Amino acid sequence: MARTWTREKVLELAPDAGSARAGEGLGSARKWASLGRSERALWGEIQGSGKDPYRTRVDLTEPAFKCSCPSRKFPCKHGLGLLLVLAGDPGAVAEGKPPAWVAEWLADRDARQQKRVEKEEAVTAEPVDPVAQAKRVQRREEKIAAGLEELALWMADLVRQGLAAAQARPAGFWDNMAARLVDAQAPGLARQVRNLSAVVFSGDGWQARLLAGLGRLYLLVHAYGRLATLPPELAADVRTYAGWTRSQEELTALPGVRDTWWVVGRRVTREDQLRVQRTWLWGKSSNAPALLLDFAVGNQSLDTTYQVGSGLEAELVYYPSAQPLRAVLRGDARSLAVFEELPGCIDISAALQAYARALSCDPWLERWPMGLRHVTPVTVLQAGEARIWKLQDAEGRQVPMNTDEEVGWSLVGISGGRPLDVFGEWDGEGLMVLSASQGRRVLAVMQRDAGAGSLVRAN
Amino acid sequence: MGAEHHNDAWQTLVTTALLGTGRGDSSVPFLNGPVATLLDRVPAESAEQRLLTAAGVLSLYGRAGWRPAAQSRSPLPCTSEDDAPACSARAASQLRRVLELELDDVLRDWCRAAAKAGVRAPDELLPALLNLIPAREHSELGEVIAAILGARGRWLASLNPAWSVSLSPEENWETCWQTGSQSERLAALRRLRRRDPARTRELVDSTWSQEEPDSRVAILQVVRSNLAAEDETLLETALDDKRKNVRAIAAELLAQLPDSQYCRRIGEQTRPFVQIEKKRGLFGSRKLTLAASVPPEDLKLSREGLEAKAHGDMGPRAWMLVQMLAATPLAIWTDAAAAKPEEILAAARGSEWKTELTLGWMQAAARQRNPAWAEPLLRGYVETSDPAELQRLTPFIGRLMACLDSPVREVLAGEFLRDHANARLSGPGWEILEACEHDWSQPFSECVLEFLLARLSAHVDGYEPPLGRELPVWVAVHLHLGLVGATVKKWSQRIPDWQPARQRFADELLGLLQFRREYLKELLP
Repeated sequence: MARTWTREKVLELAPDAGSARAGEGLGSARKWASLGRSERALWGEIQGSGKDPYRTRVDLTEPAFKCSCPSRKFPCKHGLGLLLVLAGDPGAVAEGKPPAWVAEWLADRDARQQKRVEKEEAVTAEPVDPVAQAKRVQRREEKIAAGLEELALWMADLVRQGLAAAQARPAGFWDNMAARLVDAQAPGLARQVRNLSAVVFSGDGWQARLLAGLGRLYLLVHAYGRLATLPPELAADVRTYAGWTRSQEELTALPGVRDTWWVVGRRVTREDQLRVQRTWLWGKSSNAPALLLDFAVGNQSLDTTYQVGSGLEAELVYYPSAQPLRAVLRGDARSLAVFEELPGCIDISAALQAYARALSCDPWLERWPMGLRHVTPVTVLQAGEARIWKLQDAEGRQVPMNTDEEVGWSLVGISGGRPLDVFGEWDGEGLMVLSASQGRRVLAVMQRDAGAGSLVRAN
Repeated sequence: MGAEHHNDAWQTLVTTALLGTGRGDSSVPFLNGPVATLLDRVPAESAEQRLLTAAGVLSLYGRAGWRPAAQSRSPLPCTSEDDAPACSARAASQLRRVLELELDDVLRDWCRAAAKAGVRAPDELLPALLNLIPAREHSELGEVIAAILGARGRWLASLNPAWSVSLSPEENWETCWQTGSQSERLAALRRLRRRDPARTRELVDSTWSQEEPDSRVAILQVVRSNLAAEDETLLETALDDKRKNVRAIAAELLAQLPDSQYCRRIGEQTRPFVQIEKKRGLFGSRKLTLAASVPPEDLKLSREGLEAKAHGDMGPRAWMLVQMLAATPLAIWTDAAAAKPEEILAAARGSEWKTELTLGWMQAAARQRNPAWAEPLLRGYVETSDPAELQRLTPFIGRLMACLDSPVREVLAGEFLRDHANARLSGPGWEILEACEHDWSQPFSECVLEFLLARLSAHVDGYEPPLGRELPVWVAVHLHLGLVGATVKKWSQRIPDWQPARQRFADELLGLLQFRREYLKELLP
């Protein structure tokens, strides 16, 4: 079933605010010399600064874009503009058979997709030179081991001198250790060190948070040192936390889980030039969450096929883990209509219990998908003008919410003082709300360019 | 291990870590139960390792075990069932786009249409709208937004002090007047003045004599809105105030009450200087003659706030005449001559003081909101071709046009646009369009579009100042909707020939026209 495009959904695809604005400027039918659509594709011609008009094509199934303009952004403003025309004024785009320059591109895409599938199958069949591979792995393990030793000494040093002095340490103190870990091919550990440096200036209670972070990092270092003695799933997790990436090949032999999956939340975070997108799914029959990860560097666009509020029938394969969350789609997915109520929401006690269980499997879990049922958003202005946000259940239990003013007040407005269901990421201290539902309305936090978000109707 | 024991142990650990294991006691706090057993299993050689391990285990324990206590908290206030339904999802998306445009005129248009359709703003956009109200209190936009908040919006506002101040109930205003800060008092007074001018007068009278001069000036500015004859007493008192700026405002406000003693006094003084007579002319016709003179230098009206000094290119006596005319009730002239305003104005054309007379009467008509005078005065303005004259009179046309009905406004504005078709886009004409604050009829809209098209297509010599956003926005919000389709078609063909700045102007206008048509269709199908 075709997905309905709204202006907000199109603008989410924009790689940055400038592209979004430029795209909006091209978002009316009169700008386009020609427009057309079929069930699968959307196309148009627009006069640019060159002699001939640019030809822009969109494959609506993904969406995928191709434009003849010289822009290196992806998608370019013409692609965004075309989709905005469709979103704002679908009647302006005539249905018809795709012209040759569109049909050729679509055929090309299909051919390439076919080749990709064949190549994947070929790759899995083709053996990798085991000796060379083993040597590489061995060298990396040696480097990591050395890096871990250094890290352990560095942490001991920090603790010996006292955390009170941590704030006075120069930025280089943390950056250097992180850099050395990157050199030791343990980028995951480097990221942990960088996160700790941010904790030092995170406000009230930073001392306790820093100690907790150091303690957990130390346990990770310790665990890595005895990988061989750990159960295989936990060992895989520890290696991932240190920075080993997981290959898709290890999944090919594993069984998948076929189910109806609801898209309940989406969040994009930025780490330097890298954007990381977490799409949270909830399985209808399995009653369990799954996490799809997507990455984009620089101007690349993230895969926004799965929008909050939609559903898909698909087979997911979970990466082996002590607490399975991350998964990958296998094969085709069939899109379903939007849902009207957030699935998987439970009361606060049960949710925290589930979190405790998850922690017991994977102690380094950073974000846990948590759906809370029948909670009311409340807010209090504390002395010193700091406003705090909480979610309260019928018994008066409150859990903190991580949110900004706009989303927080929108949630309060939507609730009207009555309970609603909320889904978000729990980090052990607060819930970062990603979606909410009440009555038959589902709303999702839509972010512009990995920045602040606002609450938007999803259905 | 109970929660309290855990908390104590954790606090001790944090303190130890803060000081550092290098100095003093580096032992790990006493622990029992499964946590202690677990810690014993982890090999730790140094004090640092022991501390770090304990930190890891204890923090995990605390994280996994944290549970909020069930407390009997007072239930939150709920909203009542709403009076109006929320707008459609599509309209909500359009409102979101309107807010992103950050154009007050468009937002005002959307909110008015929503109010007319009987719908309220969507819940998720209430914070964005509420945030706009405090900054827009003086303008109509604040009121227009408040009208579509619905019970839900007002409930939400009551929860945030930053918002509830703007929408506060009436009981608070009087306490605020007695005890609040200066800005709070004035804000409260402004809001009260809109709803209950009589009560405002009582409040102001009660404290006038104790007010600081600066606050008196500010209070008089509040009195400016909803000005009525009952304010005369206060203003007469203010006219005798020690401070000059207080007297000046009082004089200006009194001049807007033609039935006041003030205007009558000035009228008596002015009458001798403008003599209008109906004479029997040749062949039995009746002709109106007008003889004007300027008052002598020694005429002192400083108590009334009129100063005899030079103004621009006018001498002090001429300027005095202008000021006196500006405060004289217009009825004096029409009654004395038993003639209509246009006849008087026609007669004035022959006088050597016609500039001063026109200026003075224009100001009087603007202050007194007199349509009978406004129309002929505006006609004179429209027909003039002297740029200096235009510049002098332009500040008043807004208020004069406001006295007239829409069809009359359109006739006058249309004539002006046709006569000034060759001027630059940023020249005169904009003010007269801005004064047409109503939904334009189709013929008038066509006239405006022709005018714009002519200017946009005209060749420009030399530097053209940048074209602002206000004009295309204003036109888009008032243009007749039936013309949108045809305009887009016609202009799209011409746009590529224009310079970039003009293309942007046209794009802005066409884009807004289409968007406005869409959102109005969604709200009022």
